[in-house]
Formats: sequence, structure tokens, C-alpha cells
Amino acid sequence: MTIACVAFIGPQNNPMYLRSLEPASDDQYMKLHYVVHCSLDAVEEKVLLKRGPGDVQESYLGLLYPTEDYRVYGYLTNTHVKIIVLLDDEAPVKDDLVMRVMKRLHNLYVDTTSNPFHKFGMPISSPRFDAALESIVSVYPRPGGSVGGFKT
Amino acid sequence: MQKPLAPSPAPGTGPTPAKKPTRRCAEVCLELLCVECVRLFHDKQSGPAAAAALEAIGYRVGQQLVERYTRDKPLLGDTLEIIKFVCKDFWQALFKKQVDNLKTNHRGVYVLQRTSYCPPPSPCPHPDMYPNTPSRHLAASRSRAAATPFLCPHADTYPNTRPAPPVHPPPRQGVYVLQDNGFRWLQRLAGPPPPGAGAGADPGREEAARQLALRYLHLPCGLVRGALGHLGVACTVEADPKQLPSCTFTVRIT
Amino acid sequence: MLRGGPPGARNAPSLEQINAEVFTLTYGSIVRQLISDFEDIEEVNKQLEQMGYNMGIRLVDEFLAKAKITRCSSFKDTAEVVAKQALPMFLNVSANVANWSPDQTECSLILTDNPLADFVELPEEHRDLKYCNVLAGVVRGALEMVNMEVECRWVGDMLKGDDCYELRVKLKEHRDEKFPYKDDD
Repeated sequence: MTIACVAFIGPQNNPMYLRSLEPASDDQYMKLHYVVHCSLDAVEEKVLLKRGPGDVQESYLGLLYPTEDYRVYGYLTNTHVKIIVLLDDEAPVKDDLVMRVMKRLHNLYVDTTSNPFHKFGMPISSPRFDAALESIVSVYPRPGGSVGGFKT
Repeated sequence: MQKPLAPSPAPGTGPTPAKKPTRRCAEVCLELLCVECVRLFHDKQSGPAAAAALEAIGYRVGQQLVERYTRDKPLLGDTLEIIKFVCKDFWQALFKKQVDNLKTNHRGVYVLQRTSYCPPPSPCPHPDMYPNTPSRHLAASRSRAAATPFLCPHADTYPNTRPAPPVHPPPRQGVYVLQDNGFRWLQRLAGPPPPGAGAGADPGREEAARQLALRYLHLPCGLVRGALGHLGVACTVEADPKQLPSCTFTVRIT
Repeated sequence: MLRGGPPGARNAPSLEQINAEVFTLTYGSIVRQLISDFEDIEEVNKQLEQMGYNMGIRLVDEFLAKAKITRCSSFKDTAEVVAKQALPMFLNVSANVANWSPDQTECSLILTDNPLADFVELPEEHRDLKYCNVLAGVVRGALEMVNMEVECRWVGDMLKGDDCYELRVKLKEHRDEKFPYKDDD
């Protein structure tokens, strides 16, 4: 599994965190933002579609759609936070694996919100969060090593 | 001289993350913290400002708790499901009991009421018994300001980048009342009746106890408002200690 | 003779327990509100200590009721009781007592596990905040109730990158003649 990008979007569809797992130029960041932004529509569709009587909607939404360059996976929390992960892989990735990563990202987010100095809805600016996220994704190393970078 | 803050270890980076045991502490720590917090803010600020500060404290905790409590749950659906979640899971986790009675006026009014009696926690002296408490804290406040629903916008307003189309159905307008007949955080205030008190208790004393209780309810009101708001149900929450330790929480969807 | 025994929560009669996260988060929110209302960090530190003091004078009653301590002994013994019995009873963590001054009037309470600080990441702009100052107040308040006037100050803080939370406790006065818990004569 090759993670290209991780993003956290807030309840008002405000971007809270976007991290590219490979070096990215400003243009490339713009592109990532765009892909993530577009994926929010797919999140809404998926959630609304599944909501039949007696249906239980889980947070993990699975593959939202593939783009030319990425496979876009989504996750929605009860507090309306969207976690979007872009995978670089050409071959399909096991759903279980992606779900596990997203669960860990969710746990990280929840622990971060429990910091009394956390500001809900604002961009996440926390060295601890950056490092922890790095740890989570580095379990799945990118070929050639990852440097990554962060830009709002 | 500053050292860089060391990042904490990442949660569950291995293939099967071990579940950390839930940390516990003595309930009396929280009780005393709340008592002293109420005292501190009423000492330093006027009544309405103190009430707003306590409500804001509760609001933040409500938001944070709801992140934690809903982490492993499937997605909640409409407003009713969210209110029920607060009545059951949230109330149970916080107050060790579920809410007893949930009423609605069918316009979306939810009344949560707890009927089953919860035995009082370990005896903890409440301010009425503190020998060094200044009498002004014990004097009954005749102000009804504390009962006013608080519409204070929380400090962290979401910056508007793009209006989000609703993912969940919009909450129905209306008022919901939650009644808790043995509200845990008021147990220590609901002392035994004084010796010689007959079937008709002293109304003056009851009113004084009620006014005192209101001070301790700003924080829980904030908790409930924060929890609901963070789940997408913007509202105001107003508490009414009917007869200690029974209490109603009126939720008005905004 | 102080009631001894193995340190930690095993030996402490249990008080009613709750999940600590509510306590942790409520404390954190109080700190945050104090910063917002007072702005001056030193004032916030002072308020936290005072709050802790008021809590400490009441926590002693709870502790003495459950722990069945029959006699308040030396400052040294009291420090051990705080570290090995009181902290486990209330917070399910224990501390070490170390770094005694030669005249035995000053020591350190050292914690590496502190429920108050769970999830906390102290921002740079609040580096002067003594986040756990409520604990300093609790110790001062509790010891005052057993007739020991102490001064507490933090010399180690894990939220600031140190290896442990180290509270330096200095005995100012020990009012021996007012033992509230004498053995029966």
C-alpha cells in the first residue's frame, strides 16, 4: 500500500490538515487539495445512499472513486470530520488494510482533540500530531523513501 | 531554556494495536474539582459571567468527550438518534446511569428524565458544610440569571470555506426536555432533611438549595450542549433542579 | 506507627471510581478557561494552586477515613504516605520520594505517570504555565491539615520536555503540639 496523501476535513468542509507523503511542489499541493475537495461530494453521496431503514452506516466508507493518479478512500466520523487518504497503488489494495490505517488516523485525531489547547475547526498545528501521523504511515514505506511535507 | 516537546508515541503503529486499559481515578477528585471550579469562578466574576465561564468549560469537555465516546460507534442518524445517544451512552459514561425519561412535544422537544435512584457517591462535604466558606457563597441568590439559556457562541467558530451541504438530515426544530431523577452531580447537595422537618419541607430552604444547585448545573448544561452541538445538533440547554436530586435539562434546537 | 504495607493501589481501600478522562478533560478545560479569563499566566498558576489547596484540605478527610492512618508522624513518613498511599488512592498512580535535603526538611515527589497531563500538548506561548499546579496546591492543603506548613514548587515538568514531574516540597513549620490524631492516652 502506498499512501500519497492524508487529509482531515472539518464539519464545515474546512480543511484542517493535509499532508503529502512525498515531496510536492505548490502546484502538486493545489492538485491534492482539489482531489480531496472533490472527494467530499463522494463522501456525502455514499452516506446518503446507504442510509436505508435498519441500515447501519459505519465510519469507514471504503473506496470513494479512482482518479487518474490516485485511489481515494474516505472515512466519516460522528462529529462530521472527514478523513481522506489517497493511495498511489496501481494494484487494488485490501480494504482491511486501508480501514486499519484510517482507524489509527481517527484514534490519533481523537487523542489530539483531547488536548485542552486544541481548537476545534481550526487547522491542526501540532508537532506531536505530525510525528504520530508520520509513524502511522511509515509502517507502509514508499519506495525510495518518503520525505513528505505539510502545507495548509 | 526550552527543550523541544517530545512527540508522544503513535497510537497502534503495529499490525495489531494493543488496547490501552482505561485509566480510572477516584470520583471524589472530579467532585471536588467541580466544587472548587464553581467557587473560583463565582468568586472572581459576577453571576452571569461566572455562569458563562462554567458553561464554556462544560461545552469544551462535551465536545471532547463526544469525540471519544463516538469513536468506535457506527454513524448516528437523525436528531432523535443523537438525542437518544446522549440519553443513553453519554449519560451512562458520565453519570453512571442512563437518563430516565425522554419526552418530546413532537415538534422535537426532548425531555430527558432519570427516574431510577442512583445511590449517592462516597460522602463528600459540600460547601454548606465547609467551615471556612464565606457566608456570601451560601446565601441564597435570588437572581434567576442562572436559569437563562446560554447562547454564547463557542470560542472556536468554524471558518467558512464552503458551506457544507448537510450529510445528516437537518435537525427538527423544537424543544426536548431531559429529566434525571437522581442526577449524580447533585447528589451531594441533596442532603437529608433537617431533624424535625415534616412532610411539608421548608420552602425557603428548598429554594435556597435549588439556587445553590443551579450554580453546579452550568457545567453539565455546557457538557450536554457541547456534546449535541458537536454531533451536529445546535441547541441551548437549560437545567431546572426540580427537587434535588431530580433535575430536568431542556434542550432547544436552534 | 504509620500503617505500612505494599505501596500502590493494591493496599488502598477503594473509593468509588470513574473513568479518568472526564476528570482530565474537565481540568484541562478549566485551565483553558482561566487562561482566557485571566490572560496573565502567573495569575493562572496562582489560581490553580489555590484551587488545589482548597481541594487538598478536603481530600485529607477522605483519605484519613479510608486509609486508617493512626498517627501523623514525621515529614519523611508523611511524604511517603502521600507518594505511596494517597496518590494511588485518588489517582491510581504512585510517586517516588527522593532528593532529600541533608536536614530532612525538603524532598521531591517524583511522578512519571500523571493523569492530569494525559493528551496535553503545551503550546510554546504558554511555556510559563505550570499546568499541573493544582497538584502543588493539593499537597500544600493536605499537609496543612496534618499540621505541616509546606512550600511546593515544580522543578520538573514532562510537558516541557523533562523526564518526570518533580514537585519539590519544603517543610516550613511542623506544629507538633497540635496533633489531631494522637493515640489514646
